[in-house]
Amino acid sequence: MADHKSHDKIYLAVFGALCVFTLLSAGADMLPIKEAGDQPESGKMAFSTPVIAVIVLAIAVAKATCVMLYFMHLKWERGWKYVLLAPTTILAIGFPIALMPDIGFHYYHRVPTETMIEASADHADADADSHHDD
Amino acid sequence: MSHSSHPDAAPPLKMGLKMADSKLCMWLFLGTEIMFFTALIGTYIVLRLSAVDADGKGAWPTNDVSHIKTMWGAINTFVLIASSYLVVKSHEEIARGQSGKGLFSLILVFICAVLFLGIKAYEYKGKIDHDILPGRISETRQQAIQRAVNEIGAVAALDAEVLGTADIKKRLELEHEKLESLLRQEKLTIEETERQVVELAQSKDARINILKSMLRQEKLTIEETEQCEVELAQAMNFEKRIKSDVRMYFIYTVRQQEQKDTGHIHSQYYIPYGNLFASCYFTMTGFHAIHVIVGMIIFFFPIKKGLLKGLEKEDAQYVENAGLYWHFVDLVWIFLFPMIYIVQF
Repeated sequence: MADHKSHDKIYLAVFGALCVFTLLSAGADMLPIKEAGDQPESGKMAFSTPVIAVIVLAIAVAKATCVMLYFMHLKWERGWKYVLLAPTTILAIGFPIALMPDIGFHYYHRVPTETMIEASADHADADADSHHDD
Repeated sequence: MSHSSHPDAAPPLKMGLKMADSKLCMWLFLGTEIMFFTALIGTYIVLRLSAVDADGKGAWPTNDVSHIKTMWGAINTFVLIASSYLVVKSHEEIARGQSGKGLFSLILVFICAVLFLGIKAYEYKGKIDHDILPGRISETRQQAIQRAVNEIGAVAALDAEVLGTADIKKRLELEHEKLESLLRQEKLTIEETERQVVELAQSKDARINILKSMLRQEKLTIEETEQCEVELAQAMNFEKRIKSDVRMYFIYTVRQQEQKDTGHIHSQYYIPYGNLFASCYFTMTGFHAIHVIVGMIIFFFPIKKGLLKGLEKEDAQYVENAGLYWHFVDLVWIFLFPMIYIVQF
């Protein structure tokens, strides 16, 4: 089974990096979100939701890469890892892409406008505090 | 099959990869698991993107309304990452022959798993307490009002003995008919429905208190006491019925509690896309929790061996394979956490 020299120090460093990434993710939750009525020149730093989504998912991919390469030992494994992971990755990315046009962008059920207007009126309390976490 | 005894024999055939069969099998299994979870997570992404209002703006329930607290997700993430590190540490220690340290690390991994499930159970309880369950959430104002009226009708349809007296049943039926006709004329607002429900549920409160104080004072004759007790039982029964069967009253009490505790009201009578959210949430986190439980079973065996007999260097392969599975469980959570707790559209 194995190896090689001990990888203890690397594992500890990777664990530290993962903790930092987790803190960054949690921190991203507190980033100000750009509201609909914001003026661009107001000087307030705010991120639109797709940007926050990209930041947060990039951090998740970084964490996943750390776990896979180091903890799961893939950095030191040979070619078989590509044979195994390539089909699964293709499926993982291809499957949502395949469903996007029919369901993601054009689902047959849309909540009617009246409901959303009613909901934003009735849920005014929740909306105002939707970026708090208590 | 080796012919190495003969000097001119062909070199022995080399079969397979230079690793333990069990490790390859575990990796193949993990390949299928990757496909399983990417199916769930990919579907969630697609469904969530589709949850828009007529203007194309995102209409998925916010964390506030759906009772998602990022802090608990972050703590769970840290717990799993720490347990992943501990598994890898345990594997190294067992491979080096430090079986005592290795066993200790394995036990810590098990404890982390228990902690993760404990936090998840606490989160699930919160959802159940607020009735955020698939198929139980009204999605429009009209649905919420209609549901309340239907439930009052269901209580009114019960036998007179269950409700107390024929009188009570009659009054409740009239009340229900009044609400139904208002609903048909589209004059019933959600505030009015709430008011009616609360009135029905709490109208007996005052009477119950009066009856209770009368009984406490013990100034009544035996017949009067009996009568009082019967009336008290009927009133409490009726109140219990309304409170338990009319969901709107339950949400009303939760809202009152939130107002008292924090001053912000989170719970809502209706949540657009609420059932889709609840289905996705429980499916993904539920399957993940099942995988955590299976991981605990997998770790149970080396821990048992370690405690009873002691771990040997040969056990390092088992721990490595178990560790691979556990890292995968951690990976899934690393993706679930931002997608459920952090990302807003």
